Amino acid sequence: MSHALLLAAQTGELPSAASPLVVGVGVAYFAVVVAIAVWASRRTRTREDFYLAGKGIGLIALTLAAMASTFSGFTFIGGPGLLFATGLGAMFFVLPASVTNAFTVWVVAKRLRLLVEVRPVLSIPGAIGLRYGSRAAQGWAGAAVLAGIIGYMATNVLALGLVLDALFGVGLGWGIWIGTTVVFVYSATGGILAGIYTDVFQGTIMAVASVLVFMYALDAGGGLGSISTTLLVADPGFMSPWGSFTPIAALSLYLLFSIGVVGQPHVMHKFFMIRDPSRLKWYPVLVTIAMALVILLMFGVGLAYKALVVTGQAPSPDPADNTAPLFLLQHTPRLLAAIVFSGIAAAMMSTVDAFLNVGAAAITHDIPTALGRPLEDELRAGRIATVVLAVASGIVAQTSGTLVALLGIAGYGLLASALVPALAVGLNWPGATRSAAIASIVTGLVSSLVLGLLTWGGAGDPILSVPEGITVSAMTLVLSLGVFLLVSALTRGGTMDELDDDVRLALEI
Amino acid sequence: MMRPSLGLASLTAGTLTVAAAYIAVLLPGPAPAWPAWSVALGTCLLLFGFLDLGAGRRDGRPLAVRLVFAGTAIWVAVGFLGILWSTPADLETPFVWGLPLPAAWMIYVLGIGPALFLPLAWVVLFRSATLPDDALDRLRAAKRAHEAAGEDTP
Repeated sequence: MSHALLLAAQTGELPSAASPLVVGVGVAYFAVVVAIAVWASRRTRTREDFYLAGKGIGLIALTLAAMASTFSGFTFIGGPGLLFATGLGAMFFVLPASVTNAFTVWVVAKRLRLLVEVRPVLSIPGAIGLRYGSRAAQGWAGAAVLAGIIGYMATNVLALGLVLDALFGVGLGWGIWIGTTVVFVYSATGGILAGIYTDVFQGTIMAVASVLVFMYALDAGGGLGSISTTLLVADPGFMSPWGSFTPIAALSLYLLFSIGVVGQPHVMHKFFMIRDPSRLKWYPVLVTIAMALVILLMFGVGLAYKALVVTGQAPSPDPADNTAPLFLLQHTPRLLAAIVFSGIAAAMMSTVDAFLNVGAAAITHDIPTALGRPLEDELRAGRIATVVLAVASGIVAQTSGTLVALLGIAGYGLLASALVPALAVGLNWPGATRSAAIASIVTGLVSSLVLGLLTWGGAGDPILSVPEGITVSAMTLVLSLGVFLLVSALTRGGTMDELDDDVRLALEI
Repeated sequence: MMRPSLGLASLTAGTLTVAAAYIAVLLPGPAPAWPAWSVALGTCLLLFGFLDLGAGRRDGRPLAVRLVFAGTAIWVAVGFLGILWSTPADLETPFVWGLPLPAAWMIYVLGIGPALFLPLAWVVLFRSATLPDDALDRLRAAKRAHEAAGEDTP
């Protein structure tokens, strides 16, 4: 199995955690989520409420929501499993977190927030359309968002089903549909406001639980020094900075996850919502701390459980994604395990709700605008689109077999490749042109899908294999960036000189 | 229209450097060792390029900002170089805060290091280099002027 496949969310059966305590905590968790949805639904009256939370959220809410949406279930399940299977090289997925948050605010967040001061921008494709004065660019960006999120969302829905099955013992099928129903009910009724405040609740639980689990992990392994010594004796390659990755593959992951973050619409979209742009001052500090706390779980459990396995104190997880669940069930108090299992489900729901919102915006706002047929009641259409997208992702999760893993893997890279040049360069470089934006979005979209399919083996061998285990997504990101720079050099039209004075000022302050 | 800038030059150089590495790897025959170094260098150039472009304002960008970005790119480059140059660890390898030196370099220098100064630089430079006190007032005045002129809103 390629390293890239390991990035996909959980796709194998989890060990059962069902017990009265776990079920009780899970039910309490869902009750809080429903209560937030009811509260949010009463405050969601316009399309700005539905897509932008009325531009009224505070710094703490932005911080926790961005962290929860970014990490999904990866740091709880995929991350520890990946570290167990590939060694310390897996940390290259999360090491860029020390750079990405300041990178994000400096490169795009301030610009995005200032744009909504002067124009009613609802979405990332909308911001792209405004920057280039181009409905085509907005439409292509909307199409890329839809293509990127559908598989990403289905992967998370499948993982959510597996976690709910482990929590309540209801079976995978029921797990998928219970999870899907809860998410679409609160997303469709409460819009992004419900998503943001469930994310605040979920993000808080994620951060606190991660610190506690990290402490139990160090304790179980006898401290970090003891764990390192054990692993160095048993498997020196595991403790190498590259793990089982090649250097160029690990470095490519750093490249993709440091720069690609500004192409993730479900995270960038949240910058439209902060009440006062001045509040962004403390955002990178707070979100970096929050992310560091959550990464502790991946790091601690991945290392400690490997040490426990090599010393015969714990069974080998099969598949590796069972690393964190097995550790929780065997080495932490049952109440903490129950909270973390609920937190895992919550993390996945927080990602899905964010995707549902940006997907609904693409369907009901960006693509109709691009086609010259804007909808009259975007709030109602947004609620309907949310339900349709949720049901579609549930069906894809249940019926597409291993294809869902491909779609999930391709999602992050596709969004990065399609949106980073037009957004991160275009919002900051006056000379970026409309043709370059469209060309890079199409290049990112098509190359990600085509190369993703060619390098995906499914049940057999892939048609094309990339040497050295380099992720295709890093290649497509560099390709679309090159196309953007080249086409900007060769064309005119859509530069900042052509923008209205107030829009231009928002991009030049 | 192309307008030369340090950020754009760095972005272009970074893109070409990483692209050259990938092309070298994709060519038939055994992969050479230099592409990994090339991706490391290109990543640092891209980080600097994006940041430098992002901090651009109508009145330019303060030197302090550029120094912070250059420092970040150099710090990340040193982090990469330390790992690329490292030799496999064994029980004789020195431990730093519970990890053998190469792993410690990766986690503490590359992973944690930039988090200790880059977000704080944003905080310190926020008013002087990012969002001055009068910025929102100027923006709202520009919006009012646009609306008063009766121009279409895209």
